[in-house]
Amino acid sequence: MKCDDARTAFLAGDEGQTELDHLSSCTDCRGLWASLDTYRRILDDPEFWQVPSPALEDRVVAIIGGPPGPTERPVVTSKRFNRRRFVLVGGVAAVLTVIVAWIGLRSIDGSDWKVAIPGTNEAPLATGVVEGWNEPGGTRVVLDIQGLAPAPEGSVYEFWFSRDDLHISAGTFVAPTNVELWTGVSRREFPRLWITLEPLDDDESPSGTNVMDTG
Amino acid sequence: MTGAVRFPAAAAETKESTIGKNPAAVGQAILKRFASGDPDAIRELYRHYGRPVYSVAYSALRDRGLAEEAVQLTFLQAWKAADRFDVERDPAPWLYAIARRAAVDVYRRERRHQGRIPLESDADMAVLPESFESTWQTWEIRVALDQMSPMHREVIEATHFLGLSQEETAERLGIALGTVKSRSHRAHRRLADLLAHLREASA
Repeated sequence: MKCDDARTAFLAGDEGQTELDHLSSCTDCRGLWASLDTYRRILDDPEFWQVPSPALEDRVVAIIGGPPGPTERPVVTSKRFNRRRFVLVGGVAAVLTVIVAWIGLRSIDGSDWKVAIPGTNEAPLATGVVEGWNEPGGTRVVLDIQGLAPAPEGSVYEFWFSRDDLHISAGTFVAPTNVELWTGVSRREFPRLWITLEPLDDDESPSGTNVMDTG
Repeated sequence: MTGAVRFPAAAAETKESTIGKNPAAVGQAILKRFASGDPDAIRELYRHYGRPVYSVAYSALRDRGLAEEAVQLTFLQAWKAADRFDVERDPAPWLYAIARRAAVDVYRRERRHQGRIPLESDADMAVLPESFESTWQTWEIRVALDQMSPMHREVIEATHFLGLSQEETAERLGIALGTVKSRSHRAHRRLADLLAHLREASA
């Protein structure tokens, strides 16, 4: 029995008694057995094979202000919102997401604008303030929200800039505390700000579960 | 048996990454553009390393949304530090270290928000769950798989992810059983070779 054959069989989960005998008796292989077992355990874990959403590439590029890609956000129609058509602008200017927890370290003084964002009937206890900074190429916002529970498992909150039926996502978050977002559009062009609760699915349009809204 | 590889603490210094031996690894021209602040380069970098970064984040955080957030933070932080990146060096260990750090930050933020520990409890915050223990091996396995041919990746995925027998794999892939056996052996042999440096480091 060759060492390589025994190790390969073990990694593949094809080991028989012959291979196990070799791995336990061979001085070289015995020392590597634990490592091989770790690799096999990782490979056998279904979570290892999880793939990121296709949109993540564009979100990563958008964060640093890179150019849009050829496959970015298509025009989609919401399946859950009375067939109302939502146009999600493609391109870097369309959707830029960055979620940063400041954990109390960030001052929010000196913002360019500030607007109250009350809770809707979906979240009547929620209150909050959105502060914005007009920056070259977009807008940075910091959310200060109270009375809104963290998003349930399997869902996230999503912050939108809207004008009529045009909705631009500024990003998602789970816990509505110390959240900073960035979008490639301005509030002057997209005056309505709102937050939806979104299931983690492939539908990129607003869910219709509107929890907070500047109106 | 549990994994015995001791590595991540020195990850940023290692020169043994499989990426560094990968002829398909991100080219130096792209790295130079990245280091000089060319935003076009971030997409190239993501296409090379996005999946390993995501694998590290997901294996640690076990949540798709949080993992994607950690991926974004990873590339954002890499971008912010791009001017200090040495284009002569393999970017993989550097990105791995940033990715793990981002996952830790997201994990700790979530714990704080869930109110499980007080903000000032540094000792508690220093303890990470078991899911963080094998992130370096997870990174290297993902990188190794990305270096393999689609044919080999396919049979490894069928074996480990889908849990198929060789007979079932043959049926699924529409190839002869003997082909599956030989292909599986070659694929796992190749994978073991690509991970050999990790085994050596732990021996």
